[in-house]
Amino acid sequence: MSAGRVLGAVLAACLVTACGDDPVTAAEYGEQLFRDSRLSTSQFNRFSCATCHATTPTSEEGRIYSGYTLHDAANRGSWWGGYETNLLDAVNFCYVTFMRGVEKLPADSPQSRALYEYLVSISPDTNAQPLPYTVVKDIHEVARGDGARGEAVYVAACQECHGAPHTGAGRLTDAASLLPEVTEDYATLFPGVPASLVFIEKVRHGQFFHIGGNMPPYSREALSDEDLGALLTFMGL
Amino acid sequence: MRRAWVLALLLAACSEEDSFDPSRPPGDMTFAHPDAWTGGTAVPPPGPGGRVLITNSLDDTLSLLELDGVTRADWRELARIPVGLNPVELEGPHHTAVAPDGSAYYVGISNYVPGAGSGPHGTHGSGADDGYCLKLDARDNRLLGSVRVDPNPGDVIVSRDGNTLYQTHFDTLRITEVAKRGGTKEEMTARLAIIDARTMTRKAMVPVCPAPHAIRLSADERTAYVACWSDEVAIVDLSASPPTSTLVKVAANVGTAVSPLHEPYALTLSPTTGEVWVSSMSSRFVQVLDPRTGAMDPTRAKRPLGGAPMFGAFSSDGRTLYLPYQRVESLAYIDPLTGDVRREVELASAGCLNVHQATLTPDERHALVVCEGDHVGPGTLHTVDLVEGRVLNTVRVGIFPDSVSILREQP
Repeated sequence: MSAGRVLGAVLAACLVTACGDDPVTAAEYGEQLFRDSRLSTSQFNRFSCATCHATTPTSEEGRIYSGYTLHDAANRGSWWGGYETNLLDAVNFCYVTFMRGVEKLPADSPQSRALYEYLVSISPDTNAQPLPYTVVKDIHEVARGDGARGEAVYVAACQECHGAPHTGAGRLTDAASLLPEVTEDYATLFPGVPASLVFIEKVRHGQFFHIGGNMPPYSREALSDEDLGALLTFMGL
Repeated sequence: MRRAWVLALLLAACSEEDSFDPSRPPGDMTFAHPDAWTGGTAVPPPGPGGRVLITNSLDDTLSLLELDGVTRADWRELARIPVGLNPVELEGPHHTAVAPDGSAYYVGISNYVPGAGSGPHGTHGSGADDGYCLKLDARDNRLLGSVRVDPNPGDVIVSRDGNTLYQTHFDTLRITEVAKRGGTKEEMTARLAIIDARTMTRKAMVPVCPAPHAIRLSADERTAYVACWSDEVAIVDLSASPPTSTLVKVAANVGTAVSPLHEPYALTLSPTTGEVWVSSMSSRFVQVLDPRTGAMDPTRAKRPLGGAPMFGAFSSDGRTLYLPYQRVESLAYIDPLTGDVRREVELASAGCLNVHQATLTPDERHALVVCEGDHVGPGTLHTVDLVEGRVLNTVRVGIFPDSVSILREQP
């Protein structure tokens, strides 16, 4: 065997060893999809499932997600406060509404099946129960809180998408507004309405209730009025 | 140098960031679960006995009941399931139509839900948004398709062959807004959506009248009759291209779209004579349209009922019109020949408040009567034994139920 062939054989062996030669499980591939915004084929999408959901029993320290953790989610029986009773439908609501999926994920595509297997892999409790989801329907003022807490809330809940305050540095997409600068437009858009109310509405209703855009809503379970009040203080509202 | 090149190649080959392509799943991927997406709360498909569907318009649900239990004193919901396109907002399901082969059913989404939410962007649920007609799979109640229609969908029916849907729009908001700016009656006119039920696409949008609500088809399905809030009945010639609408006043004394005296709301068609019985809410009259002449027959609208008449049902021999009416909360047995009430079954003592619709079981021995309730707590469904003239049971359903249908494969 020539020196070149020996080198080639060694290289091939290294590649196999370094990368692993076991077939990829669907759950492993599903986790990659879970964390990749390219799961949605929309060129405008920057969200992945992981943008809004933790996968551990509780969220990591310093993060406030708009959605529940998906730990045990596959076995909950219903989602969105009982308004989705089919797991794929619940996933597809997110996929189409927030991730701008052009078409719903079919039940039988390899990607869809892999995503399902990942969700099952992080759902050990077969008796998991549905979780409450309280939409704050009517928008009212909330008591203001501590500004330092508000900054922590901003980092935990807002910064992932909106980036750093004032500059937007590191934001997920240019479509995410600069905070709090965007509130300066509210007086023109909503004459006579306190900017704080518009801000609260955006947080509580997301893109729904005639608002538009791409933001998910923060339910009462996801974000307390206390934390919202602290955030308003930090935003100077 | 060569060592560095090998290392770089290894790193590049193993870099997931570079190699992962969501659109190209690994060919050798192994699956642990042959049946994907099994999670959820499944409701058994309807049995051969058939299933009762009730739209609960203020909580975005459907109540499902197995028809087999209709005479049991302990009859209960099989399930209460969510319906709509959006789990965040309330959408106001309003009326159902059932495919003749029992494979699917259709629900109008009104987006009229008072108190559904408000903020600087406006009040939600006022009926200002476009509505939808949904097609749902009868086996698993999942969405098969939807089509956007005009604001405030009212009644929805399906043709005998199951291929065409007719969706009205009870758009009283339009009347109010046009009146406020001094507009004309024509501008108050809302359209009838004619929908291809297979593709869930709109075939035609036909201007009908101000706030059309109930719609029924003639036996040959060439004519649609529509109750119009403007004290009129619309006779829609479906054989014309495009379909045309002719309006007939329901009585000699009528008001306007803005201030109607009668408020026609519901319709019931005789299966034998084709006569159209018009339930007018404010005048409490049930008025009769003769399909042969296209004119009202005032001789059988002798006296008003004790409350607003709603959606009724004819016996298949055409000899009895079972018509529920509000305030008294009663199911009246009306003789179609005379318009007289032959018998009544009182419903209030069984817990009925604001009766809305009655439909007959396939054997016509019982009526299923749905009552709205107080629009805050649960409404009710009652089985009435039509021979004995008594209520057999009371089932609590969702908030503000406003339609009852039977899902069943037609023989």
